[in-house]
Amino acid sequence: MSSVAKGTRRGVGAPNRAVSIRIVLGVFLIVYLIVLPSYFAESRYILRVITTASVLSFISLGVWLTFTIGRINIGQGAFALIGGYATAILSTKFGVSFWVCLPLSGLIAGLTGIIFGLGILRLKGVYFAMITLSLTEAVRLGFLSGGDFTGGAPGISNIPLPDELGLFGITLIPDFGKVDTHIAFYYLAAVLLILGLAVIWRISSSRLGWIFKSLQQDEELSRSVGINVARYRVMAYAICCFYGGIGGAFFTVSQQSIYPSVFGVLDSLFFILYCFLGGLAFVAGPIVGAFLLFILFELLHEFQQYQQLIYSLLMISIMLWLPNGLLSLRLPAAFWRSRNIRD
Amino acid sequence: MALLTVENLEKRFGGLIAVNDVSFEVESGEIFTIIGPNGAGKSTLFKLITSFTRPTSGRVIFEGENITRLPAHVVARKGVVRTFQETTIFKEMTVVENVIVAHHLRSRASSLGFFFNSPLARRDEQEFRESADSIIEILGLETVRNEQARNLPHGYLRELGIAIAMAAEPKALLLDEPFSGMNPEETDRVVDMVRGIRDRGITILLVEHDMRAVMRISDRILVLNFGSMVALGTPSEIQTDKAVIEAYLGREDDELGI
Ligand SMILES: Nc1ncnc2c1ncn2[C@@H]1O[C@H](COP(=O)(O)OP(=O)(O)OP(=O)(O)O)[C@@H](O)[C@H]1O
Ligand SMILES: [Mg+2]
Repeated sequence: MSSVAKGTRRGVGAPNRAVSIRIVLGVFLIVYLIVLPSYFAESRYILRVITTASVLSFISLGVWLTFTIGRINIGQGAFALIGGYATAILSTKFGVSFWVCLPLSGLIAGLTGIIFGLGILRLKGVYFAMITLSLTEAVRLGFLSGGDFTGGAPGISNIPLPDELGLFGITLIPDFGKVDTHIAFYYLAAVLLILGLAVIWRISSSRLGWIFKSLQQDEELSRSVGINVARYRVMAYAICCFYGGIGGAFFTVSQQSIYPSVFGVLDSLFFILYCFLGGLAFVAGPIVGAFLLFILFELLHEFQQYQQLIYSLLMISIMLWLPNGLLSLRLPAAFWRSRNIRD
Repeated sequence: MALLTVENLEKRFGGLIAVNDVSFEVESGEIFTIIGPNGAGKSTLFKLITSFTRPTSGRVIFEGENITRLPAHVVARKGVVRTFQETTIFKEMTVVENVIVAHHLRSRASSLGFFFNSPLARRDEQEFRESADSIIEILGLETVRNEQARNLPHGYLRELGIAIAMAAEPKALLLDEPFSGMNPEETDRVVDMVRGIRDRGITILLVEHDMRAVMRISDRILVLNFGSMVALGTPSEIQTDKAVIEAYLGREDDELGI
């Protein structure tokens, strides 16, 4: 249906816009993949901050997708935790390679999301928000009391770094222990984020995105024209949880440890705030929000005792004066839009 | 064989019997209207037929198949599609986007097909776009085709609701008060539109309060009061039915078109 929008919205300058979008994207990619990592190769702290912001963005992309079906999802921390523990348990107890753990963690989180989602997605508005918030806490408590299997409060440590990934004797990804680990994780995070954004972008500009949008606006009406409402909202939620699981697996292996309070209610709320800050109407919203807030968070580290206060005031101001997020400010509006993007 | 058969349908909300032992048959190609005072159970009856709510007892048979407890979207896929009494549209889409998205049950591509924009998905999109344009043309919505639905003038909202339902290719279309809030000219236009839809082979079930329109357009009329059937017959039979006049007692005579 993106082509509908094409037919109706394309102006005279459209082909130029398409070119400029590619140029902007290209510049972004070069800066992100080449300039930043080589410029900051020596300052591990900064590399780590960008790496973390990338994966937080990735996780928030999932939360953004649940916004498109009209749900405020404060449960993403639970699925990051599930993905994290899946990787921790599989790699330490069963010796599974990280490159198998990573997709498996996403799948396990996604499947868990389907099971929960079938029940809780019947709820809307504040009820859904509250139950997902409780879910974050319930899952944390579950891992806390998991006994030997989850390692209780201290969790699981000594998780191995990603090993070599090869095919027919050709090394595709080197053993993270034998290269500059920070750079390796930087690139892993970058690849995840780029792929993650591409997938969400594609979903939201395809018919799936339109179905999700129809659910957001009126589930009854969608049902009346034969759309299997339950199926599509579970689909959106499962994809969201998959993203959470992958992100959790990343943090587990990059910290080489996991414990129940790594992802809590506050983290789940932050994922929401990243989306709000960047703007819910824009696929890139959560990324802009996550980078900005997380980097701000790092800058404010000096003022530790005021950090939460400043954070809260900032959020209130955004909700009051910038309800559509930062991206609604910039001029080439069509650039970030979820639809229209392939014109 | 009748297209749609309703058998002893009953719906209770706690102590209240909203629909009480209602049975009727609708023939293919008919315009079958349900009238009755406010709260008579007309909308509830529509929701029962389209599976938006479950009956306490009774059955709905469509094309010989019992559709009573199927999920609502499956009933829609079988060809029984309703519109809503309250204005119900996808507000944050344009008119044409509303109609295109409502074509979903016709799509042959899978979710992965949509994602990868497979040839089948592209063909679906192409077809939906063409079909949406023809629905928009039939219903006379061309002038507002690219308007954001939430900005539409009131007169167009009901028509957009009908356009959305038409996109689902109904065999039986259930219209809940399509003329409400319209002036006489608008009503005349939509009456013609409903006739046009019927002439395309779609069976119409109608709930409506506008008696002038009802008497003109209906083939048969069912009268409900407090959930129960009061009368069933042609417009001229209904207009002279004692029980009907009783049910409407205390109301303005001309409301019944008598
Ligand atoms: N979900 C519900 N829960 C409880 N009672 C309900 C529910 N839906 C409808 N009712 C009651 O059932 C009765 C029939 O309602 P319904 O909406 O079917 O009437 P109607 O004939 O469509 O009236 P109107 O002409 O005002 O649209 C009313 O008394 C209404 O209050
Ligand atoms: Mg009603």
